[in-house]
Amino acid sequence: MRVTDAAYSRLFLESIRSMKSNQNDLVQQLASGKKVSRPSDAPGDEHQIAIFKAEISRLAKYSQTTDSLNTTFSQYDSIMNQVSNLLHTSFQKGSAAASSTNQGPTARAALSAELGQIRDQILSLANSSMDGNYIFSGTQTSTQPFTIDTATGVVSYQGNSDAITVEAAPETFLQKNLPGDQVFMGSNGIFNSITSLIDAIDAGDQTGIENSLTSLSGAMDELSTSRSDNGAKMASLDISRTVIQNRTTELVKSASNLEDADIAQVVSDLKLDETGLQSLFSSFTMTNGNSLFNYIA
Amino acid sequence: MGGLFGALELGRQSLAAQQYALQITSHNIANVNTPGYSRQLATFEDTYIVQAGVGSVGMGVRVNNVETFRNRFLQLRINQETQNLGALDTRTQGLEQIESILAPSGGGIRERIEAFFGSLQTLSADPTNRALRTEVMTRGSELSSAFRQSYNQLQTFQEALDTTVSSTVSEINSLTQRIAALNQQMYEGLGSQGQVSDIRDQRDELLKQLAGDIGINYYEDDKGGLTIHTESGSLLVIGNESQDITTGPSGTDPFTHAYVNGTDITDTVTGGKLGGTFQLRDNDIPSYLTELDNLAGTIITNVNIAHSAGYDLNDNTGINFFQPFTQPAPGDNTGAARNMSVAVTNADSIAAASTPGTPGDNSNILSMLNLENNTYTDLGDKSFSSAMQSSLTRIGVDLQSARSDVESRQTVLSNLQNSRDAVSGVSLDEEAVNLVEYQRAFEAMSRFMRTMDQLTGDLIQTLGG
Repeated sequence: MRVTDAAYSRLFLESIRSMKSNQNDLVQQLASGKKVSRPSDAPGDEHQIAIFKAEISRLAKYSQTTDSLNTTFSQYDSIMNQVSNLLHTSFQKGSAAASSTNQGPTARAALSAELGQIRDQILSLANSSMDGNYIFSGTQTSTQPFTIDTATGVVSYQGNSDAITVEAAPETFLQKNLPGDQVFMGSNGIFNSITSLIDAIDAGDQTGIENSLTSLSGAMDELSTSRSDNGAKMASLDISRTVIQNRTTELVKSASNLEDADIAQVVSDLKLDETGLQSLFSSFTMTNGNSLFNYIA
Repeated sequence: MGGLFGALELGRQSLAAQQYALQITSHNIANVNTPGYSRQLATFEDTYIVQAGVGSVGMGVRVNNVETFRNRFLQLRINQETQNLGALDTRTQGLEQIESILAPSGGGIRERIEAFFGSLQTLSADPTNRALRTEVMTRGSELSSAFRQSYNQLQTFQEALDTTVSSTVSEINSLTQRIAALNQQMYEGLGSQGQVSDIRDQRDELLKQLAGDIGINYYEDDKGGLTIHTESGSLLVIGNESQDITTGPSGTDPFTHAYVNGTDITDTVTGGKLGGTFQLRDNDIPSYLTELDNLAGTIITNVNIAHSAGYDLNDNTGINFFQPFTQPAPGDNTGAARNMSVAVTNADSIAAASTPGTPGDNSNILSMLNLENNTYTDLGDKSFSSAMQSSLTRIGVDLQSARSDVESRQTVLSNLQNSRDAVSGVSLDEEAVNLVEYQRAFEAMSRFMRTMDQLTGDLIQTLGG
């Protein structure tokens, strides 16, 4: 085949163009550290990376949720712990009233007043709020859950029994709230037990005191059940958090495998390209110097 | 005519022939870098005269022909590949623009959809939290503005492409006019064979430029004139006349159409820069605009239905989250993406609860969250983000294959050009050899003439003395 000067130049130009464009791709990979940054780089991989990244950011949201749930559950635990201590104190006071040495009217009145104060403290704990929301009123978080009739000492529940269900981890739903009727108004009832104890002490009704103490002890059992349910939820949060962390680590690794450039490989490819380009340049000057015109004068 | 004077005349003719050949060689060397130039070669012929009683006697040499080296088939293939490449190049550059609009670095609509539902998910864990409520509004606005931005950028690009139509068309018209003028020169058969060859080369080069601009078919008539049609058969050049392409509106279409003699050729042009431009302006961009509208319309409608079923912190219900969108016709979502915005202006107005008086209730948020994984008939039974993903995958695959098409067509074209050069191109080494050959012949012939001159002188002196 006749090789003309123009064909020679075209060959050189095209080889240079293709090498430079390859170099450009490699430099871009080095600069961004990524081999896939646009759909057209690798449509399938880019889609897969997007799926991984979406799941990673979704998991980050879950971990935000588990953190906030953890705060809520801790607060429930701390309140129930305080209530439980107050119930123990009430039980001790009640037991004292049942013993023979404290059966004078003055002593009974003092005991009754102390128990009334404890009931107020528990009431205030049951009306606790977090960020302006009552935590024991079901979903009616702007309604104060418990009110007391000061004349009769009867405490009544104003909230509802609705649950707030939250997805703490993929497909793991936890009830976030503890409606107050379930915690304070069980079959024995914390407020009922204390009020009937106070009434019995005021009346000097020994049998009434005994019965109220039995009821109070039942209420304490109920509270401790609620508390251990709450504890179980905190434990399951811990598991969720570990699952989320492990899954995130795996996803980050998978995304990186698809997305990140192999820097060592890129550098070595660049070196190869450079050598190729250099030899191309020197071959161009070598062959271009060879013209018959140089030999005829 | 024999004798010494005859020999001198033989010398004159031969010198002229060598000189002519040297001129052709210098013409070749001078045009070594002229695109489309076909090399020429002088062919010699020996000449005779018939003398009575002797028969024919050699009378030296003359140039009987200037041969040109060309291969019409290769030229045709080059023109075909040039028009393919013209369209592909334009389309590839356009698709790159579309890709950067739909998938900007830092995330586009796909990422904003995920961020919006992510903010709802966070809110579901703490539905009365005002900071989280505000975040949902912010993510909603970001999603809306991503739609508006992508849509506007695509439209601006479409309008920019439209303005290039008339400039490409005037380029085409100028080319066809020049080709028609060269046809006229061919008919007049001006000058030597060498000049005719040069006209043909010029015309071939213009033809190649024309093929880069618009898809064409052509043939040469028996007098050497070139007849050129568009792909759909509208005449652009016949003989020494050219037909200009005109541009203008068409019905309600806001974009420029191209006409030949009153016939709208817009939909039939596929080759060249013009074909690539029409493909982008009339097919590629509108398809992405429609996909954006369908997605925006489906998101607005479904989010609004779910949101308006719930109750906000002030027990209001029936609140639209996004500015509601009404379809201009059933199934038509035109305008949804362009006008998308958040309607809720106060964080308290986000309807998280399913029943009034229960601000702690998150169940309406949970039902909004379900929207993300639902599939929708309007989106081809896809979810919101997978509908966006399929647009992104489509542009990715289209661009990738267009790029590799350009790459392979370029290789084909440069191989064709090499083949053409092997036939028609100038090789300086060859010309150097020719130069030496003709020079030597010229020198020898000069020596011959000196000898003849001496002989003639001798004769005059001898006889005159």
